[in-house]
Amino acid sequence: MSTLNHLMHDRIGQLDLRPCPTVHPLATVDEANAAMRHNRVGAVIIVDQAGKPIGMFNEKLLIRLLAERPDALGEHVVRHMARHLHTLPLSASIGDLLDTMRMHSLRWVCVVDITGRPVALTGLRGLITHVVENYLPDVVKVHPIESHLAMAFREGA
Amino acid sequence: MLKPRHRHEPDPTSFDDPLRRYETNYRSDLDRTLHEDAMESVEMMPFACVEPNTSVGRVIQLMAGLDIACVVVVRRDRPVGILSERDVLDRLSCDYDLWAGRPVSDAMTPDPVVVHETDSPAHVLNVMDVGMFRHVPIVDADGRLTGVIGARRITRYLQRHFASV
Repeated sequence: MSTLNHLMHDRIGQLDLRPCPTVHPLATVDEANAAMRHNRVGAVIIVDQAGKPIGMFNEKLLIRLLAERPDALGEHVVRHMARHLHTLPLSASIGDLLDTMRMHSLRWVCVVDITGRPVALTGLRGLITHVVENYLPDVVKVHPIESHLAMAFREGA
Repeated sequence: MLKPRHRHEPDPTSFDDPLRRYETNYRSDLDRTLHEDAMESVEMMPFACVEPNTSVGRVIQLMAGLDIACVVVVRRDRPVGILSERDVLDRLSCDYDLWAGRPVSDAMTPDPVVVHETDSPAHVLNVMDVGMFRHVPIVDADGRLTGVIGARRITRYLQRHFASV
C-alpha cells in the first residue's frame, strides 16, 4: 500500500479536530460570529432543539453578507445559513473527508457522533497538521507558538 | 634540501565521496515528492491583490465576488499585507460600518509570511502548520507576488500527483 493510500485510510478521529460551536436557529448572525470568534474556528453549526445539526454558518457566508447586506448582522442566523450540511462520523476515513470537501467545495465538515450530534469541526488545516506530524519526519519543525498568540499575531490568512 | 614529493594516482575504488553523506534517505514516495518538488509545480489558486489605499468595503466586495478567502495587499507588486476571512471575522465584523470606508492598510495584517516559488511543498506545509495559516503568498526571487497557496491546492496536488500510485 502506498504512503498516500495509508494517509487516505487514516481516520478522521486521528486528525487535530477543532471545537464545534453551536447556536440555535433564532440566534442572530452577530451571535453566530461571536461563537466562531470565541472558539477560534471559521464555522458554527446551527442545531435544532434536539441538538441535531440543521445548517452551518461560516466566514465565507459572513463575507457574502457583509458585501451584500451589512445591515443584516442582527437578523436570525437561520435566514442566512447554508442548509445543505454535510456531516461525517468519527470513523470516516480521510479519503472520505477529502472526497466530501472536493465534491461540494466545502471548507469545513461537521463531525458527528453515532447519534448524529455534532462533536467537532474539521477542515484542511487539520489535515495539513496530520501530514506534517506523521508523514514528513524530516521536515525541520519549529516549536509551535501558543495558539492564542498565533491567532492574535497571525501574519497569514 | 627538500625531497621531491611523489604523487600517487587516487584509487577510484577507495574514493569516498564526502557529498554522499548529505544525500537524504526519504522514507517514502510522498516524502520525496514533498521535499524535491518546487511550489512552481503546484497549481496556485486564483488570487487578488489590491493597493493599500483600497477601501475595506471594496476589498470585501472583491472577496465575495471572486469567492476567495484572502486578498494580498501589495505596493509595487510586493506583498505588504494580507486581509483574510479570519481577519474580517475577528476585527471587522463587529463594527463593519466604521471599517467599510477605511483603507485596507488599517485592517490588514502587515508583513505577511511568504514562501518562494522554489520552496518545496514540504516547506510550505510546515509554514502553514506552524503559523496556523490557511493561505500564504508566494513571491519570486525579487520578492514580487506571483501567487497564493492554500490548503486546498496542496491537498489537490497530493491527490493528483498520487492518483496513479
